[in-house]
Amino acid sequence: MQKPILEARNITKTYQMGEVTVHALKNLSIEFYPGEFVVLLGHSGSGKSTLLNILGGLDKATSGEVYFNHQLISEYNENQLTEYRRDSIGFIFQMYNLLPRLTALENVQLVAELANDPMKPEEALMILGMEHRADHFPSQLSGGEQQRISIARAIAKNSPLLFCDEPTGALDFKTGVLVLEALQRVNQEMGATTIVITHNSSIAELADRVIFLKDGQIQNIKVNKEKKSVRDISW
Amino acid sequence: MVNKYLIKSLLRELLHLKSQILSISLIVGIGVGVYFGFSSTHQSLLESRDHFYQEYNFPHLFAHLHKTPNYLLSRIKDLPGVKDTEGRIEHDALLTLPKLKEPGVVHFVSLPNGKQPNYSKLFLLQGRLPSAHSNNEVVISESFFLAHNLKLGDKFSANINGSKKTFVIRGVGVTPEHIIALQPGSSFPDDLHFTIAWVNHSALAPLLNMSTSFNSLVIQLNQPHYQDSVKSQVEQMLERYGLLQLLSRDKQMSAVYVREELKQLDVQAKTIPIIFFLVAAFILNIVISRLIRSQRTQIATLKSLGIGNYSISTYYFCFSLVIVILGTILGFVIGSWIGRNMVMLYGYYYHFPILKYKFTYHQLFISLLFSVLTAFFGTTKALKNIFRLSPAEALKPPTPINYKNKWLEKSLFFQQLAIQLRMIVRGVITTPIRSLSVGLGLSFAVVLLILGLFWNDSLNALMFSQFGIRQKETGQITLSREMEAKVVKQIERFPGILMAEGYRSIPVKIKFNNQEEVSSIKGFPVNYALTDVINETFTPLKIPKDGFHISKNLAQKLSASKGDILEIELLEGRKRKLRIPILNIMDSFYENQILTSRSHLAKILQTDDLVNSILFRTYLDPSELYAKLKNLPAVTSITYKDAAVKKFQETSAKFLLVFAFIFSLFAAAIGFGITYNNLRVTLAERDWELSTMMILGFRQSEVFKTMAHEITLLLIVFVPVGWVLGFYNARWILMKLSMEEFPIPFSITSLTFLIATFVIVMSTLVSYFIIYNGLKKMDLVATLKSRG
Ligand SMILES: Nc1ncnc2c1ncn2[C@@H]1O[C@H](COP(=O)(O)OP(=O)(O)O)[C@@H](O)[C@H]1O
Ligand SMILES: [Mg+2]
Repeated sequence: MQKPILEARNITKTYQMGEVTVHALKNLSIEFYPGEFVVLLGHSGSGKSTLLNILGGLDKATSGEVYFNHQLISEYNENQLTEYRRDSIGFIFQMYNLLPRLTALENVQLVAELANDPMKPEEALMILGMEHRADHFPSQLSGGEQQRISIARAIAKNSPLLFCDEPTGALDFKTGVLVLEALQRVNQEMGATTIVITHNSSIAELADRVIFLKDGQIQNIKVNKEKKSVRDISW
Repeated sequence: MVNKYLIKSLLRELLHLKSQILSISLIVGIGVGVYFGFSSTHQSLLESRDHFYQEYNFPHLFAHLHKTPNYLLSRIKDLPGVKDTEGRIEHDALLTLPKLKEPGVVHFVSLPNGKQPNYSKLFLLQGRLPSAHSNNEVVISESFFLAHNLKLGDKFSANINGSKKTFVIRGVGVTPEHIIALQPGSSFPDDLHFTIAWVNHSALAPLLNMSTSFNSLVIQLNQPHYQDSVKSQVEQMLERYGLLQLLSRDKQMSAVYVREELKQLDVQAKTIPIIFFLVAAFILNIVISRLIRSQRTQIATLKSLGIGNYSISTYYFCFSLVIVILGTILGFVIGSWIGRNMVMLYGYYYHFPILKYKFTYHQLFISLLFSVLTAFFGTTKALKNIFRLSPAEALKPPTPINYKNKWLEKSLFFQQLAIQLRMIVRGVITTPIRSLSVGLGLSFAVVLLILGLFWNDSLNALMFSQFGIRQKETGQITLSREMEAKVVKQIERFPGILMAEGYRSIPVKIKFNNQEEVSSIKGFPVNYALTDVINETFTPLKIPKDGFHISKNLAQKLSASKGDILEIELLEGRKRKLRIPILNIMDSFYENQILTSRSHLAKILQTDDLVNSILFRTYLDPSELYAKLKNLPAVTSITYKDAAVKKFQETSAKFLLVFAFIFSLFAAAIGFGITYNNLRVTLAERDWELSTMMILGFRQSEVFKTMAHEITLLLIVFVPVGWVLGFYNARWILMKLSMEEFPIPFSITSLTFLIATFVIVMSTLVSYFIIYNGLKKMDLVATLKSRG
């Protein structure tokens, strides 16, 4: 069996809201393997974002450990976490988060410059079919286009991990399909471990594994023997 | 729509932005403080001076003459327009004081025996007037008294007309005529070597053989506007007796000094604060615009509830108003502190009988008015957006700024820049008003610094030109009468004297183009070596064998130029009239003079080769030299350049240092205020973008640079703009303040530009540091969620 690239052990995350303690994650353990496409499913408030943020070094767990390639990420300081994100993770956000004062191409270039072994920014745009929008500023692009630029930006680093928190959340159905298709294709071609958060269960069929979260715990893990492609899914 | 809810919300908002608000209030406060402090000082001094002039009978006209018989006094008094006259004896003598090694000069002014004169009355700071029958009691001026730590009862001796006489100091005083005790012909007050001494007429007259005559005359007019007619009548009447100088009150040296000093205060009170008000308005505009942008949804909601534009605008205007009023209050505190201290400081110099710090409601009102105007101009631009905002539109996200600038994006140069730099340039040019505000604010801070620092450069240039290159002499001996030129050789033979050169100076009146000026012709030896004579472009000139050079400022006063022919009238002897062509214009910083060779002068005057002043160069200590020379009967005074200069430099350096330091603090407050506020606004506006960059793996310093270097870029562009503005501003102010009688050359060194730049850069770095630490505290996840 393959060794996990990313591993969370006994993660607990609590938020103190005055008198009340909110348990966002409760003693959660999970492993992720190289190249797999994982979907995190669950109702709003089930702890998906919290988990992804802890895995991505944006947030610290109250207790428990996170390992990336056997490195104990959860003990890292701020600077180390920055380096971890810089070298190892591509992020895709619900609101795309493109830098408004840079063109599409520049957004990709800027992030590619961070990586040791980046893809050519033009090539990343090409993979997403966005080369004809290279010189446009984000404000001149539609939401779907922006999200595809944002994916190009994430993959240009050639990083081993790709984290997507509700990438289709702000898009209409048709555009959402295009974006997901792009994500799946990128996962197959580039082989980065891809974790996608959604609360749309239809997306689940695209994944190698689907992890169901409920009240901060893993309720169920479903392994898809045969992954469907975006086109085959009935939405 | 003033209600409890809004007041609460206003307070909450103010509290939230407290550090920004304080920095703006501080800038308004400094502006108000400088205006209020300087103008109230000006007002206080002006009133004290006028009171002094009034109560101590400062006369309208002053005449200096040769010995003139007393009976003329009543004839002058009978002239139409003349109310009263008073004759006096004035006399300069060499002074020795046990404590003073080198010689000083005492300027005697006679008093009616034991009594106050009718005009230019003495205000006694200590002691009493000479008693009626004393012939050795004097009252002296305070600066000398203090400079030597004298006590009442101390003595000094003076060499009057060849005989040495001892005087006892019985009082210390000042008259409206001698508020600044200036040795005639000197431009710097020299407290160590010069004093006025008021003495009984009966003590002075016999020594000078003037018991029934006078050589100084003051005239009181019925109406000030009779001045010109009285002047010409007096000139006519006294011509035969040798009228050397007839000055109106506004040309009187001490009055000129005091007036110019006060004018300086007034000009500064009216110019410097403008910088602060402008900068405060700039910052307010940035901050209020941001506030309105971030609250567009609330504004739209209020509008849809039927609350009008004006009511909403009032809310934001009140926000600014609170800031400026806070600043005004602070300004009153700063201003009255400045005022009190300045009045006290001036009190040491001016000794007005009544000098109280006070301010007027008018000044309070103007301060408040300027603050409110600042709030108004700082807010209106931003408030326009409230009017433009329709409720429906406001509920959508704001229309994104279009970063596409065709001209810029297409330029090859721009495409070559690093991405980060392109991002910064776009950030600067797509918010032009804000960038311009920040940029100009920084320029103004530089201007302010240059204004605070250039005085030192200009005064140094003055010192250098007067005492550096051009005048190599150590000092000057003034003779009481004209002597054969061989006396120069005698003096040069004294051991210790390295070089001596005699010149002859005679008073003249010049007429040209209906202009009249009193000046003097100086005749120098042709092979003159101690002083360089240079023209306007600093090229050395030769002493003309048979022609005349005239100084630049004299030429300007007469609007004469090279080649013109001047009509001159000698004020001595037979009052001969001559016509002389101008050979060259000399650069002379403050002396109204005409230069020729001594031999030429002797030829014109049909006399032998005579001298009445001797310049010398020596390595002797002043006291040694004095010991050697003090028994020469014809010596009136020996002045050492160095002592006067050193003293002047010491006082002025101390003053200028404080001045420069305070200006640096002010400029730093501006630099900090404007960069800090702008960065805070940027941080608030771009928090989402900045945290995105950090999540993507940019280091904090890299992220910070993308915002901070917008300011750096503005610094690079606008600090040089500040240099240029500062240069012209300083030149303008110097022109405005420079006295005709005492022009200061304009000079700014590169060190001044360097210091100005350094202070601004440092103040910017401080705000960088604070904002950088703010960035550290940013919660990435929370920031993202706030927009998600
Ligand atoms: N900063 C926070 N402070 C307090 N509670 C939080 C915070 N972030 C998340 N939570 C809580 O933790 C739980 C999990 O949140 P989250 O991971 O965002 O859910 P999901 O992404 O699955 O919708 C929720 O109950 C949420 O209210
Ligand atoms: Mg979530």
